Amino acid sequence: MTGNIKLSLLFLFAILLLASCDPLVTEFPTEQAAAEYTAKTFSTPPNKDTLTVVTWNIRFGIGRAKWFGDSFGELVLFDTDEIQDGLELLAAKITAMDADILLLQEVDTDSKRSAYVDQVQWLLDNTAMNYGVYASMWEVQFVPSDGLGRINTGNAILSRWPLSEAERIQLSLRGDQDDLTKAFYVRRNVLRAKVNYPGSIFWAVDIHASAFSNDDTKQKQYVEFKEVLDELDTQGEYFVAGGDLNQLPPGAVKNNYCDNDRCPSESTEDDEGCDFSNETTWISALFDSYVPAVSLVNYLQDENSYFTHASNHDASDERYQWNRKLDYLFTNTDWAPRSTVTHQDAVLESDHVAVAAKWVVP
Amino acid sequence: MRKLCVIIILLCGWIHADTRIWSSGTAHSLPKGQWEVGLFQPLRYGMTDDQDIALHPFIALKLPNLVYKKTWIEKNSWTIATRHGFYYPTPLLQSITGAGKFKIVAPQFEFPTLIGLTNEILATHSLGDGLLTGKAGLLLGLGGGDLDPTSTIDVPLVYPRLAVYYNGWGLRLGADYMAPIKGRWSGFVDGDVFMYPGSASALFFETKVLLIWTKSSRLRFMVGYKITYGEYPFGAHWQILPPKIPTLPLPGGWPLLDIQITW
Repeated sequence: MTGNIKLSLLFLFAILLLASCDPLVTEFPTEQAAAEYTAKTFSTPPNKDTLTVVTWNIRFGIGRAKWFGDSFGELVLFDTDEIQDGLELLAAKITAMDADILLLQEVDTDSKRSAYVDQVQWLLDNTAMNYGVYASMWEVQFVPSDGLGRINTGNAILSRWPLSEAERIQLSLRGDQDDLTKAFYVRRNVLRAKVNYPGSIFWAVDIHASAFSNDDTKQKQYVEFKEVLDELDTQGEYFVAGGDLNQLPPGAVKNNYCDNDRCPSESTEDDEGCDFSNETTWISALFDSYVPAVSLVNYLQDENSYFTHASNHDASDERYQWNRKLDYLFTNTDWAPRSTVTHQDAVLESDHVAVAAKWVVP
Repeated sequence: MRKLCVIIILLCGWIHADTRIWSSGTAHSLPKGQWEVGLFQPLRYGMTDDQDIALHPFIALKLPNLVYKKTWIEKNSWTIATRHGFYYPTPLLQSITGAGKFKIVAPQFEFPTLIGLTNEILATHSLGDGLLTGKAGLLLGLGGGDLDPTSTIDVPLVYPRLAVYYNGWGLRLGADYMAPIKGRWSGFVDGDVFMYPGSASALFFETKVLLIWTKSSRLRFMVGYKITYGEYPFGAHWQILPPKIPTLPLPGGWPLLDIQITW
């Protein structure tokens, strides 16, 4: 073998050794810049005194389909047409709500389960939103379980106005899983971005807390979420914040949903994230420190009208109806009085209800 | 855990499927009566001096497979052979379909009887101190007419080898070069292209670099990496293999490691 060929071979081998870090699973740093998006075509945003802020867990565009992960279903993967239909329903509702700022959860950007449709880009291109940022909570080249395969899903903020300084902030990982499961599992985060609204810059903050932990993982995540809000508040910044906290409001009458959520083939030992009875004060600090779109007084007067989640997607099952509130909006300024709408009429778009409120521009 | 082992062995088998450092990747056949096997390489047997057969023994029950090679011409510094393979992947695909950990195909899919046939021509030529081998082959996938296009396994090494059942046919071109470096050390480089005309996922490329340490005429060790490129359903993608596996202590990815014996 000639010297040049030998050298080339050794050099190539060395390069491969050095470059062999491509991860099967993306493990995120504590803080990281978020991915930025823009719509293909821009819509001119209107001038407004109040902005409609919406939080919505969109369930990666599958509507009320019977997905294996959360609704007694057997379906794992959906094709392009099914996802397109789901996204069109979502876009129609977003347009009808006249949303200005969207705090979205469970948005897929590159997942086999949703036919690899980049849903952030799709929603930007099919609504009046112009700018988006995205922070993945689960980026795995191949999930070796249930045929899930490749997945990239997370939180997204969409806005009519430019977004900047977008940042993904890592939340605590679940503490109640074995190492292998934990390695391939979801990594929850808070996504925040500055909204460059003319004359009144403010922050949008989006969270999706752990859904199925049975330990104190969620409690840690709420503390971390509040720390993000406290930091902005201390700096004199305005914010709108919200998301799917996977938590009941303090004082909720019913706080154990295990019988509702358990699939026929499951036993009580399989229960995950359905018993909130030891968690009744975990988000109290958010209500104490900031202004909720739905006050606890209003909520406790008529719980049913504020429910945002259902655990069954068979329309003939009584559990098809919304049966708990998990989704919230907060600000450190003011919501317009009586402006909050819990869009329970949108029964087909997702297993979560969009919560919208008009934020008074300071 | 047993299923995980099957999957790992299968993947590693594919990684090394054509890494026949003594002769399996060349147009040469094993001498009559000689056996050769690697941890992740097929078991080969020389039927005559110009014919050998090979199969992957660890997965043969789940993926029945057999490859026959016939050396036709050995003249001057050229050797020409053909290689013909048979694969029946249905039992393996069915075993990894379902709900739960290590089920890598969703339970909503079913796999019919699938038969894979490969027919290749190999030409080996002495170049410098080493052997250069060129290959060209026709891949046929039978029985996949009703396969759901969503049921694919979208990962390197696997997707290009199963794509033939979704497309019906494909082409495979490749070249290997193996040569001594110094003393007991030698090197191996190869490249393979899979093409599936008419498919949206039409082109795949794999290249591998191995360092080989020869302990004796019966025992060799290999270490190296593989780079893959492919047009997958999610888009074009480069990948170094093996990837970093979560929970394993090495900060980068583990290299491919193999041991090969012959007798």
